[in-house]
Amino acid sequence: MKSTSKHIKGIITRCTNYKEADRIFTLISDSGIMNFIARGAKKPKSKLSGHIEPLNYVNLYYRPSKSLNSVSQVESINSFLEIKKEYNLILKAQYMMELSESLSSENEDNSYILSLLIKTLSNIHNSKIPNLDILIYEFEILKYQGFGIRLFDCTNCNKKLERAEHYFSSKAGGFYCGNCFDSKEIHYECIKVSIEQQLLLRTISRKKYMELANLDLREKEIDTCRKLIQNSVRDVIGVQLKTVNFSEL
Amino acid sequence: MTSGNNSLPVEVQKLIIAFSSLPGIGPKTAQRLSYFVLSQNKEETLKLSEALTEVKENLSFCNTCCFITNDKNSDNCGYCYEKDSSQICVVENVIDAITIEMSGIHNGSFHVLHGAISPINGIGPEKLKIEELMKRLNKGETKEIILATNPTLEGEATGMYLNKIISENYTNIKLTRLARGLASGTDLEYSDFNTLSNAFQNRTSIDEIN
Repeated sequence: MKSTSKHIKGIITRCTNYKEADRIFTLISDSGIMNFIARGAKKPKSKLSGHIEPLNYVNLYYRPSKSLNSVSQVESINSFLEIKKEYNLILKAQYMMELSESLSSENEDNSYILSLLIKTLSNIHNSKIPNLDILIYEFEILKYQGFGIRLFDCTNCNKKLERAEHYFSSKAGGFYCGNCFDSKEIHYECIKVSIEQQLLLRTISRKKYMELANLDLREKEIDTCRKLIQNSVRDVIGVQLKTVNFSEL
Repeated sequence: MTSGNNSLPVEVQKLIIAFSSLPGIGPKTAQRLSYFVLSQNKEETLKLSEALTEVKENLSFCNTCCFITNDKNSDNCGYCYEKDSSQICVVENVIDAITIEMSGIHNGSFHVLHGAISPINGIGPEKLKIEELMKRLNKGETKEIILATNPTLEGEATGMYLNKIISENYTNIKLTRLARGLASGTDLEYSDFNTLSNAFQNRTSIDEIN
């Protein structure tokens, strides 16, 4: 008899308790965002409990359904235990999961985003500058979804940007050259970006990560670059991510 | 007869909407519950109505321990007076405090946070009853804090946050948390990495068990 059960790998992003002992959860998988119900997962003796937790990379077997897919078996592949031991890393991981969720769709190939998320989550606890890993992740995921930032030419006149401070507009999706910035009344929505910060973004965009070690990277430079990306994400998805409000991010 | 709730009397519609606002109750279940209430005799329904009214009129949350109280003085409930305030067990929800209380294993007082830190759901420390806990600690009566948050990602994050702010500001207070590891009756085969890791880290000598 043909089995109707399927299996899929992915990272659990959020869980909600449902009824007496069930849990409903969201999974970022190769096939996009998927929702599942794990019946009885809250019971201490359940074989599913423990595995059904946010930030667990799991392999799960389920019965497809028109409403919620019902989980029959689950095994953890990676629980990212090192991240779960540090408060700040938990916040950063939750931010990355929310970002991935917001830029993923249902029933669409999502393997690149999933592999990028796993790679970044695996690296941040060993990283000297976790925010740099997250910046690379933010930059890559935005670029992959077709919302990459224009770094080399002006978004208004298309002229090549000179080596100078420029203003970034998340609504325009890139930088304004000096002339265009002066001629436009958009000053309130722009962020001033230094030469070093532009260099950092350009190095990331060329995927020359080894060269990052040669840059004078300070927290301030990384934070400003991350702010640009977060504003771009906000404009792309139409809402501010909830995790962005946490100062420890 | 037309379909839909609009054809129903306004009173029934109001009851369906009221039931729908409860967690885990969808529109269909709300309808079923409403028809059940209609079919019940008046005394039974009034009992339910009285119980709901009494809960809201007579009960509130204590401003000190944030547990349920029926005291008019909600600044310091009877429970706060009765219990040993040198040992405070911090829990996420009222139901957690009731479960521990029913087990009879904790003689100290409780502090209910009314939730756990969950950035992905927009719940930060400022939305929990942490300020109230700090006010209690400022009185200087507390010797030990037992962190009894759930062993979930949110519960662990809350525990870590509390550990950070309490250990920074109150060096004389002992901070402990409930043991992590295998639950009785579970199979090793089905345990997740986190549980196994905790069980190995917190393993105890057999002499201690005996």
